[in-house]
Amino acid sequence: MVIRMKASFVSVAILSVALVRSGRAAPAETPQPRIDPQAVSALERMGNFLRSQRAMVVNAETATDEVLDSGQKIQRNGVAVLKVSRPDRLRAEVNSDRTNEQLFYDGKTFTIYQPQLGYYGSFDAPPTLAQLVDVAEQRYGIDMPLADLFTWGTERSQVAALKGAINVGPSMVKGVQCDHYAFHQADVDWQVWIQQGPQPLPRKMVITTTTEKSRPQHSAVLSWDLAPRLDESMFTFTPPATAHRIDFDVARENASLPRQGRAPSHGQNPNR
Amino acid sequence: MNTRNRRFRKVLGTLGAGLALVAASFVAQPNASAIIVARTAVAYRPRPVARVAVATTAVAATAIAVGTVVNSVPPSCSTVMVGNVAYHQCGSTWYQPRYAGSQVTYVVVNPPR
Repeated sequence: MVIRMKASFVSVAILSVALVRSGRAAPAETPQPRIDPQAVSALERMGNFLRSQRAMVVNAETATDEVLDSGQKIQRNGVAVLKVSRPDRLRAEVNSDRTNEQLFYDGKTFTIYQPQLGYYGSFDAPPTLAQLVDVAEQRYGIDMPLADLFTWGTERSQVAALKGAINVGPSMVKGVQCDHYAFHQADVDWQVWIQQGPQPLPRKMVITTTTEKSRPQHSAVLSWDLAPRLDESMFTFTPPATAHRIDFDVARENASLPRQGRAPSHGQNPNR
Repeated sequence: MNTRNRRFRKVLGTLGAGLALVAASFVAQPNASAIIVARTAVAYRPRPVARVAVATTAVAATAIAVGTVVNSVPPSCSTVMVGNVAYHQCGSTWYQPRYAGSQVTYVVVNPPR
């Protein structure tokens, strides 16, 4: 039942794309296009819009599947709040059943702090958010929350990786009228709901990991403030007296990567 | 393409050999058998190195090999500062907290004093 619905969904989308194409006098024997250029341009438009915003506060309600040894899926819920000032400021709070962490980035230093544990780690950071996402991930193994927000519209968003792109149709997300797009890649399927009108903001995302048999999903419902009041001091971490700085376990193999920042050592003042 | 799987957090991938030596008083963790977490970003570059595999608990026992990594320590351990470095001392076993990604883990180290 579900599969049939899905199939008809896709065929309607493909059919509508085909109709549009035939209106442009495409050759009749053209195979059904699997990538709708309109869906790709909607992505690019969203990315450009996001990049044009200097300051924003994003609130994300997330649900992330974990897979147990038995193959059973467990859904974990979380909330992430990101305060961003482009190109080089970030403050984030991530709270879930699992973690309670704060991230600070002021263009020079990145800090992750777990207030419940009283530990924090810092490293000298690259000068832009997009680069920070790379370094945090590649060198330190830190997944930045909502990392896609910082890479859309850059070469890293990899339009070339798309193997399928369809416009599913209009859809409401929390009272906001959106267009719903679905993309297919080699290792993930993903969907994004983009706000209609002059502010093409992503309002919802679903990422399905297709390389795993159980196909775990991550979803995020986003709400936005594009005119936030951000205080410069919120981006710099000032350790409480009770907090201790600890090292990152940077794997030896990572040492061959271009080093954007020194690995921290004990006793340094993280605030320079 | 296989390298992409390294993105998954192997919360309980392979236990340190040292932990196999130990059998006592586990601190129960309901998430102990989660092995895969859904990918949370579409765009990323494959990591060069897999995450450090960690056990889910530490135990208050004597024979834990130096280098064993756990992601929690028994509540009975005391936090001790030696120089400027934080340790958790659990009897004769000393743990040093470290970040593995965004997760605080605890590595068994030689006694710092």
